[in-house]
This record gives sequence, structure tokens and C-alpha cells, in this order.
Amino acid sequence: MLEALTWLLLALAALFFSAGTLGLLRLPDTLSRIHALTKADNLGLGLAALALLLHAESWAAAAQIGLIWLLALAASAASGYLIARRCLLESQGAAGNGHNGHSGLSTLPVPASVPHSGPQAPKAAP
Amino acid sequence: METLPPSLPLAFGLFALLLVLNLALGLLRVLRGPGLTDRLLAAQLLGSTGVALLLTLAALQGWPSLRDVALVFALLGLLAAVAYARLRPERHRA
Amino acid sequence: MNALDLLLALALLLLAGAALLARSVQIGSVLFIAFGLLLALVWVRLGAPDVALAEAAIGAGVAGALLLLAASEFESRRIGSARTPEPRLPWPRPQRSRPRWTVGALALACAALLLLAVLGIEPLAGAATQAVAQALPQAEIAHPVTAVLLSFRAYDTLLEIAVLLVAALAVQAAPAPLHRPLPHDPVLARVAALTVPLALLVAVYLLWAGSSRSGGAFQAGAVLAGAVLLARFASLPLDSQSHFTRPPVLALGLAVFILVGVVAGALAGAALAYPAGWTKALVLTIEAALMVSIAATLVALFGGSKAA
Repeated sequence: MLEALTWLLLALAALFFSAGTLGLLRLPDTLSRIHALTKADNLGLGLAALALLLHAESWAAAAQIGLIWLLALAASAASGYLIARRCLLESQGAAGNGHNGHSGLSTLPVPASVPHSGPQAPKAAP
Repeated sequence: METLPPSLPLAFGLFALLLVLNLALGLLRVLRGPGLTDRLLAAQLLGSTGVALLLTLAALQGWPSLRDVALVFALLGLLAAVAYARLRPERHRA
Repeated sequence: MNALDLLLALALLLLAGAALLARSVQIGSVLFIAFGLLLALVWVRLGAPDVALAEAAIGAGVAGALLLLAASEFESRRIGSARTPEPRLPWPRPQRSRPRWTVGALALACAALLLLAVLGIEPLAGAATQAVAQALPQAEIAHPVTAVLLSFRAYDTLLEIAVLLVAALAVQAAPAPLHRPLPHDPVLARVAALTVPLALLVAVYLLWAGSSRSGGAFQAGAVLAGAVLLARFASLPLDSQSHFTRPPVLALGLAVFILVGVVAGALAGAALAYPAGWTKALVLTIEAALMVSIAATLVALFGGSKAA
């Protein structure tokens, strides 16, 4: 029973991984490739991590696998944002003002604040 | 916990093979990808696939240390992206 | 040898060639990062997780970020100097017109010699491993790599640390580059606020793990450097950053190593020997100091410690 579940999870993980990689190869431009990378691949990683931690040799090892997945998820989300923002900056700078790089940085809207966890209404963007 | 059920090494092995295929495809994008950003994305893909591959190998070969390597992989994927995001803005794009 | 190994070998060659022939140094740097990641996987396949940890943290992580940033500085100065006739590089600009036949011939000769040497190696598989395994109980350290680095061949490690110190001081002797402050990015700041403590934890974990499994001072130091660099890139307001790369911190590892080597050696009867029963504690002390110094050295390579 557990075996069948593991096979299923790994098959799904393989599907998502392949989807992410194919997206990286076939999608037309950089920004859409970021989508494929950060979303599909990390879901695949999560499913694979689940399959693997079901058979880990100890609870500590299972916890470690879970932690690695969470870290990969957070890192991927952060790097997706960072790369996308940088990419937008470059295209803005190349298209519009080629002289001042720094003003290009400031014209891109930055989130006014990162909402704290808890029941707090998010502030409006500038 | 217990030893692996008999069919699982095959499952893990096949999954590892698929990840290797993904590595190869990611390599294609790293070598071809027309810009700096595309190559960096492909490097991130290599990192994520590397994490999955290392976790799978850790189970297949029974080496817990590989999970530590996967942890470091995940961390430095972030470092590379942050370094890229904080590059000095250029006037002309190469 | 299986499909993974073949792919990795081929990929390494392709990436190395592509990195050298890339049309810009920045692209070469990203290819170098990819190369480092795959090289770490190669070390795993060769059965060396310690080296894989170090390669992933130093080669693909810190050195990759260093190259990327330096390449970007180089590119923007080169483009900037195209407008002004004065190149601002501290070394003379290389001539591109003459092909470098002598250098190419020397490189080929070296490669041929290396190839002959590698082909002539008799497989010693097991001999060194057996020797270490036999001597391991005497060293009181469970992990063979750590035992070799800090007990059997501690003198080599000591000299390596001295070399690192000299390198760090040499880098700091160069004029610090101008650092224009980057605009504040709250998302990056929040991400760094979460991941920097985690990275610190991972560094200490790797340090502790080195006594019984893969890990140790070099790997922990590299991850610690990564944590400090993350904080710096995210412009986290940490006042202690510039103090981190001062000479006392850089020299801490070497100083502790020498101190322990002399004092413990006097008690145990030979230089860099550890008295029975004290090995693990002393090795951990040395490694902790080494971790801090290695991290400070790596961060010092990025320069700009005097800027805000």
C-alpha cells in the first residue's frame, strides 16, 4: 500500500519536474520561464520529498527532508521575484532612459511594505 | 524505520534517471539561452534538480550526508540569485 | 559508471569550454556557477560528500557570486571607459592582435604531461583507506576526513590556513572599490532576515557534524560567509559587518590553531598532537576558530569592508 503511494507520488513528481524543465526550454521569454521554474519544479520537489520522507531511516532524517523542501520553496520564490524584478529593470533601462540606471531602479514600483503575519490589513501600494 | 520495500529501489532509480534527463535539458538552456538571465535561470534549475537528485541518491545509496549537500545547494541557489539581483545597473545590456 | 556519470563528465567539459569562450565575462561567471553545481554532483558520485559540500558552498556559491560581481564591475568599467580615453584598470590592457601561440603550446604540453601521469597511476584503491581505518581509533575522531585534516595531517591544514590569511591581507591591501549604495528592497530584506539566521544555523550544524560525518571547518566557514554575504547584499543594517573582516578576525583561526598545537602538543609530547581524551574538544575548538576565519577571509575577498 505504501509502495503504491510512493510510486504514485514519484510519478507525479516526475510529471511536474518535466513540465517545469520543458517550460524552461520552450516558453518564449524570460519572465514566463521564471514561472515554469519556480512553480512547477518546486511542486515536483515537494512530491518527491514526500515520497522520500515516507521511507526515511529515522524521524530526524524525515524532518530534515521536510526542512530542505521548505527552504528550497522559499529560496525559489525569493529568487523568482529577484530575477524577475531585475529582468524588468533591464528591459526598462534599455527601452527608455539609457543614461541613468539608478532612476530606472526607483521608478519600478516596490511593495510599500511586506505585510506582517497576523490579521493586519496590507497597506496600499504607492 | 524499516528497510525499503523491494520495489522501491527501482522507483527511486527511475526517478533519478528522469532527473538526470532534466539536468541534460537544463544544460541545454544554460549553454544556449540567449541572455545572462536565461542562463542564471537554468543554473537555478540545475540547483533544484540537484537537490531532488541528492535526496533520491541519499535514499538509494543510504548516505545521509547527501542531504546536507542538498541543504547547501538550496541555500546557495538563493545566494546566486541575490548576487545577480544586486549587480550594478548597466547602461547597455550585453 | 552509468548514464549520470557520463552525462556529468560531458556536461563538465561543455560548460568549461563555454565558460571560457563566452562572449562576456558575466555570462562566463554564470556558466562557472553551473559548472560548480555539476562538479559538486561529480564529487558525490566519486564518494566524497565532504568535497561536494565544499564545492557547492565555495565553488558554486561564494566564488560564483564573487565572479559575477567582479565581472559586472569589469564590464561596466570597460563600457564606461569606452567614452573616456583613460582605462581605469590597474593593469595594462592586453593586446588582442597577437595570437598566443606560446601560451597555447605550454598549456597543451601541461595537459599532455597530466594525462600521462594520470594514465600511469597504479590503482592504489584501498591502501590509503586501510591505513586511515587502522589508525582511526587512535585519533579518537569518528570521521576519517576530519581525522586526516586535523589530526594525521594537521600541519598541512595549518599551512593552508596561513596561506588563506596572507591572501586575505593581500586583498585588503588593494584600494577598496567605490560602493554606491543600492536602493532598499523590502522583500529582499525580509527574505534575508529569514534565511540569514537559518544559514548561520546550518553553518554551526556543519561544524558540529564534521566530527562524525561530512562537514567541518571549511564547509561551515563557506556557509557562514554565505550568510554574511546575504546580509550584505540585502543591505541589512548590521553594524558588525565591517568589523568582521578586520585582521584580528582573519587571524583568529591561525592563532588558535598554533596555540592549541603548541600547548596540547607540549602536553602530549609532539607538536600538534592531542592528549588522550581531549581530542574531540580540542579539534572542535580549532575548527570553530577556523570556521570564523575562513568565513571572514571569503567575505574579505568581496572588498568594500570600509564602505558603509
